[in-house]
Amino acid sequence: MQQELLFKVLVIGDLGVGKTSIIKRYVHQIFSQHYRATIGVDFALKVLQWDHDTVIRLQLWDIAGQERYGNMTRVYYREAVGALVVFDVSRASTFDAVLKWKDDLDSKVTLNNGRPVPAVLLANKSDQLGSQQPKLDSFCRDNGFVSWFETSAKENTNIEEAARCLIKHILDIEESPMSERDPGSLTLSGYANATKDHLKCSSCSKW
Amino acid sequence: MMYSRGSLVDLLIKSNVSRYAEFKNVSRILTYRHDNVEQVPCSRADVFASRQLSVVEKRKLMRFLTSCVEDTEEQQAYNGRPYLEFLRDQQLGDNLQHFLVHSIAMVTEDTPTEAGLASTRHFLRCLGRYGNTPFLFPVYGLGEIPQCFCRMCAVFGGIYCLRHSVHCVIVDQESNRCKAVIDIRGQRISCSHFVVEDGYVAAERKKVATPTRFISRAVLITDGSVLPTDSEQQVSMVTLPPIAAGSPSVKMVELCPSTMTCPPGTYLVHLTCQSTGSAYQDLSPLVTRMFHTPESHDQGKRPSVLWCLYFNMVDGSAVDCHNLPSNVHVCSGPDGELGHEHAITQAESIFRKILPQEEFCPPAPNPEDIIYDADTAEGDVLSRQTEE
Repeated sequence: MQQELLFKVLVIGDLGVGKTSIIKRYVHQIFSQHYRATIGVDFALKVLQWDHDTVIRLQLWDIAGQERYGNMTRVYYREAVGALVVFDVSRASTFDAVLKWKDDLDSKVTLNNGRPVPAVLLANKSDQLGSQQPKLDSFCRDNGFVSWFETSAKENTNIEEAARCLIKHILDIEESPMSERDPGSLTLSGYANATKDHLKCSSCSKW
Repeated sequence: MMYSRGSLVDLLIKSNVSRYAEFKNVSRILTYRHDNVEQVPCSRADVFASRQLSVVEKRKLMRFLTSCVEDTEEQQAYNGRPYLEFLRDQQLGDNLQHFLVHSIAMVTEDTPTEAGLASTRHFLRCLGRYGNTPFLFPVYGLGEIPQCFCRMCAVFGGIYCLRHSVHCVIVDQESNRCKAVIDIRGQRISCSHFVVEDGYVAAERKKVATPTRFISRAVLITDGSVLPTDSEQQVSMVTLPPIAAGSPSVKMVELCPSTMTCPPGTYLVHLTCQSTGSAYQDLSPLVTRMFHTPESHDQGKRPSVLWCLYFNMVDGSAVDCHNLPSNVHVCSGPDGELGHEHAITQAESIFRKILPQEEFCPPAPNPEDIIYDADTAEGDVLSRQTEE
């Protein structure tokens, strides 16, 4: 039987680093030089046939323009199982902010076992720099990122690869035994149930 | 705390904001009398399972709960007379009267019959919608609710500025309208409307017909439940009748760790009442009797208080302002009521003043239902100038 997994993934980073462009490129195969924050949409959905018997529904949650004030509400982070942390290679200040975003993430959401959710670092706009960039391997090791990629939403470089890497780490964690979510909590009716059902379906077929 | 049928739950569902939150049912209603904590049977199942009620009492209570839903001439004859008197004449007995007045209607002994019955019916209507009691509690606490509305606002292009409080407002003398606000970091934020909590409004702009009312509150962290059971994950609503003549009736909520408000092995307890004195004067006698504190005399098997805080706050339900710029809208702070009826009514009325043509909190689309089209992806920007 095919199993369907639903993953909520956050895309975070400073203003103008290309978060929305990355989402649009990955989900809709579009790149536009001028775009505004997406209006009216919580997340973009990418459906992946991961392997013969696994379909992954990846929800990419946009930050919805809140990055300029640097603090996200916990509601945005809830139930996330992974994150893409983005900076702009042409602006050093956006790299400096990476650790602030990582801290915000780790302080507001964890896996059920209390460990941080896997995060992949994206060095975006790599098309704008000709020269070789410093390697971030040790930076990732020191700061708890599972990996890093030089990406370009404009030229569609490495975005698929980064997403695959994150999904792989999420799946590794899913497969290791962990405590189930508290069964006693409930959501109020409305469409939220539809999303919940996916969650439930996926865990049923998994166990 | 939220009633499972009430304007807040209705609004959360209607607007789809409920998608951002999860809830726990309050799992039991407790009361305190004769120095004992007891569970109040309120649903049909509870009444049958109750061990503290006699068979006769069970039958009486079931009959009363079924019959009180309908308006009868007999009830109307008691209009204006105390609910307690009505209950006494129903031959219910002391036990049941106590449960009905204090824990189900949650009124006082001199509340008129019609109000007591209305509260009882509201309680019964809320029962069973999501669980065995009429109350819901948001996982991670009530602070989640404004966050959920903020996220919805952000998704539609609104911006909230956490940790930026307003230092002053700029008012155009001629039009008597607020043009902008300056935040504490000196940043100017232009606005066409300004919504502000009444605590920021200077006293001389407030109409005070009656003296300001206060609420007394206490917050405790304890090491055990006031009524331990096999399950450590109980969420309890505790109604506490006045412990002496002239002292207030107190509402207490005991939250377990699975509400994500306190660490494993501890309980978070909130006590609230209308102030008659300071919060410490109003609530500490009760805390000392129900819990083990340094002031407690004996070493009973009560839970210990690990940490506590007493404070008073203004009861926000009755504040009226005047002499303000026409585009400044004042909302009140928390009140002592259990539900959130006042806050929702107020939010809707402010929204109507600002945007009379728009629907209040229309349902947001399900992101999975939105079909993308490269040309229209930029969509319309719905600008919102409300201030967080």
